[in-house]
Amino acid sequence: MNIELLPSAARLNMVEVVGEAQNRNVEEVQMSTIDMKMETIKKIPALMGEVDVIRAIQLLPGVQSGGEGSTGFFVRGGGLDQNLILLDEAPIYNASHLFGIFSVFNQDAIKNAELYKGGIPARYGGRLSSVLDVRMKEGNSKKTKVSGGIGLISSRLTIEGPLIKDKISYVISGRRTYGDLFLKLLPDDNPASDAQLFFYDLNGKINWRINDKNRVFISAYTGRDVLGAGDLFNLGWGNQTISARWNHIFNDKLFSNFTGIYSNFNYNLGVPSGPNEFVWTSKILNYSFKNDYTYYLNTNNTVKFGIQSTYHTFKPALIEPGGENESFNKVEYFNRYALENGIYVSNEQKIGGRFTLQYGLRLSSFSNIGQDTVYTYDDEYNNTGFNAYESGDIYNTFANLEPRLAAKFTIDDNSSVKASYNRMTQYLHLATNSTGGAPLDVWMPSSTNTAPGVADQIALGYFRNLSKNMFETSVEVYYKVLQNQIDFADNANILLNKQLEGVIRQGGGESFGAEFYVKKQTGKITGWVSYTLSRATRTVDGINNGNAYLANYHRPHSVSIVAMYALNDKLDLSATWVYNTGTRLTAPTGRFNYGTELVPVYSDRNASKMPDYHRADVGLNWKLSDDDQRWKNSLNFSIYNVYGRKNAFAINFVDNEVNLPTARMTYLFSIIPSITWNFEF
Amino acid sequence: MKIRIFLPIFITAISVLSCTKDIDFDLNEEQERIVIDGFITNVKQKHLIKITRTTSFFKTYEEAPAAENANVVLSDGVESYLCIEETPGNYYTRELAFELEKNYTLTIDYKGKTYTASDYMNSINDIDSIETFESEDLIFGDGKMKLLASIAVFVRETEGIGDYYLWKYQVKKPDTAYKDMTPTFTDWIFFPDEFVEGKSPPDGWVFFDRIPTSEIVPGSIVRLQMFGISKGYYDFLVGLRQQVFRGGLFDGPQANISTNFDNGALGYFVAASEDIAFTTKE
Repeated sequence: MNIELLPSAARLNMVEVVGEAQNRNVEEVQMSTIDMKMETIKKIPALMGEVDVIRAIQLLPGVQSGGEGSTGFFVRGGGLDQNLILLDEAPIYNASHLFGIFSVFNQDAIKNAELYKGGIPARYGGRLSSVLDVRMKEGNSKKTKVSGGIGLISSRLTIEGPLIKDKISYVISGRRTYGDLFLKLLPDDNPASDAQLFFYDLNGKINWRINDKNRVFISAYTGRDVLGAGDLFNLGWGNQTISARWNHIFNDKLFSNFTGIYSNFNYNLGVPSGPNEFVWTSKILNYSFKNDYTYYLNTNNTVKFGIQSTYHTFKPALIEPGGENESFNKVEYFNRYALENGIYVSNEQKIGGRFTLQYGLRLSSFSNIGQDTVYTYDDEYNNTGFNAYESGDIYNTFANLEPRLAAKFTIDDNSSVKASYNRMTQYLHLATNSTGGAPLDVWMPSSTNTAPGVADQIALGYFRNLSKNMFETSVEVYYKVLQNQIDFADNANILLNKQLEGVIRQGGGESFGAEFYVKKQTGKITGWVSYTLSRATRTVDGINNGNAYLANYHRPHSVSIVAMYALNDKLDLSATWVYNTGTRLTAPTGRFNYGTELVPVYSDRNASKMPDYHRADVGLNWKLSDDDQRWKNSLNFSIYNVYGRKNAFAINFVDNEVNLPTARMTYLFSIIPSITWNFEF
Repeated sequence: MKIRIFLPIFITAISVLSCTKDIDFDLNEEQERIVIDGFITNVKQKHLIKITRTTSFFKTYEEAPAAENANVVLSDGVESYLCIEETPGNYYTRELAFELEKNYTLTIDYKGKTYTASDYMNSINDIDSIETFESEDLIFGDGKMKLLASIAVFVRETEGIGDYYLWKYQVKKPDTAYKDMTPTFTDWIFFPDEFVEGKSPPDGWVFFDRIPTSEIVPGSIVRLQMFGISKGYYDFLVGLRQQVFRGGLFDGPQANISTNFDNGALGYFVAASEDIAFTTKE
């Protein structure tokens, strides 16, 4: 008997390999944390096609954007300078390109970004409100891959591969914008026609797997913005970082990392030629060494401990005349030096099947080191003289204990409650007026005149996953108290002020809020909805008559909706919608005459607000090749601000053309469509 | 330092990227407040206390509305001086010279509310001499060198920080009346003594104001008033200057200018020492 078998094709369901437990958010003791994978970020519609890590985290609960077109961000009522932004462990002091419109993180070079808003582990220190830990790609250790993209304003190219297969891999990634080329098309009499306006990023990383017990990587980043207009002026700013890490496994219980870090943020501006020629440079430099250990004591206890030491150099302003300019002498404003140390230990302890505790302590210290000249002030901020210190003199030291606590109680497989407390200390202050990413910020160390900032935060959360982890939901509430926040005295002179510390006022701050988050992780439609209800105030002596006032970035209501829809194998659609209560503003309430001048009378600090902010973006990703092809390419279309909402960037009260006072709104973007072609082989 | 130059840089950079639109913005226009501009010195004259009222921000007035029928009294703690309203809102003392090194209090009763302010009349050294000279310099704008007239003032500065100076001047060309060269506070020159502390002529400190040479011709008489003012008034003037020159990205947050009045009044009551010097251009 012959039986003929008919061939039949059976289609198996796709097997998804998931790197982490899908109920991680419920299981882990860590709360107030979000891990963003680059693949997710790439699906979100992007402004001018530039996929951006910081724009993506601004869509998360508890994170406020600095305003229209700004990659500055504010976490749970904390300031712009209270976010520790790390790129492969190196601090980035200014993560903005083009006045904050883009961030320094090139999508092709980044693997993932993790944001800690609360319950910050003891291994992190130095900032009050958050840690944004961005990791670069390791490089493909099997085969060489080239990927890149051509967009409206920039192009990208990344090459990665093995130098020695399975042993040494590398990745090198570059991005450059060419927006300035369009300016050349302007008529010659337009001053912008000979303008320079571009930025670039270059990331590189080498990974060397020496053996099973030893791994080394070296990662480096450099990026710069260049702005100029012929002989009139030029301006540039950028970060350079290098980090080198040796990962050593002593035995199956003890792991360690030794890391050396260099970070440099600097800017320069000036007039490149002519009788007014000069150059002004400013920088902040760090050399840092870290040594971290993880010790698996037993199945119930994981101990982490380590030390970190950072040498800071602050060079706020070196101004040199050039060429024929003899109208002033070279000026160097006070350079400052400081040593910041941290030592920590923490333990994550499982108690029974349901309860996990994480407790830790960080001891931080900060020493001001000469050579330095420090002005002294009386109680009314009048200058009373100065103290001069020799090079190498340690003339002032702060030390702070920072307890960190987190607890989780598992209700069942799908739900848990968590609580956390953290105290953070910050020894660096950012002297800035702007809420965006203006590059001319001055970072200044705590000193005998300015005390370090301290933040205490408690948070409670309920985490629940639904439908076999298809939905992740959470509700978190937090309360944060800030001490020694800096602000400027009313009508203070901030630019090139040698006695800047004399116009700084310190005071307290308070913020609290509730964050609601629903995320759909699997299925054809994925994405999330987040809503934050919050309040952030400051109370500083000498400002607003000593009464509490709302912080600039106080936005009581904030909503983000992110949806991604896989239409078929080739087409992905995405859409986002954001809504924020308008930015706070101090508006005039009247005017008075003083002599022949009209002088505005203002309301209390930040007593008014700009119109509410809302915007929708859409995106479409179209794969032009099949998944099994070696040469892959795709087109990405996105439209920023689909319904053309004119969101205020700033509101100024000025006299109009017929000399009548008027409220003038500045806005940056209306509808911006873009197209990017991406490839990979 | 040429700080002003940086402002156009940023305004240019931002304007390349942005658009503007005039919008309706609801201001919480608050109740009217009174504004007091009082200035007394040790020079014998009728001293003026000018009282006006605030106006709506979006409306413009040629002249601020006067606060009439107020009761205005000056006091040095021992003696009181009543001020008489000669024209609406302008209250004058009789002709007198106030004494140096005394604390003066101004009390105003207006529509059932009382406002007070005090200031100390700080004595500073008299002017040694003043002279005019010409110099060639660059004026920001067209990048060309210009010949300018300058005034140099020689004063002995007392050791120790804490004196604040305010200068105004007038020029009388041959056959004309005095012209006020510093009619509004934006033209006034005011600064703390911190950069000139304890210096004395001949290598002492000088002040320059640079004006076109046509303003000071041979035979012109320059009359210079030097006031010793309090730190409070100096801070008030710095605040005013910042309000008027707003618009750069380096501006601090908007805030009301300080005042020494209580009860919500605006403006400042100044008690200043005054010295006057003359020079004739050869």
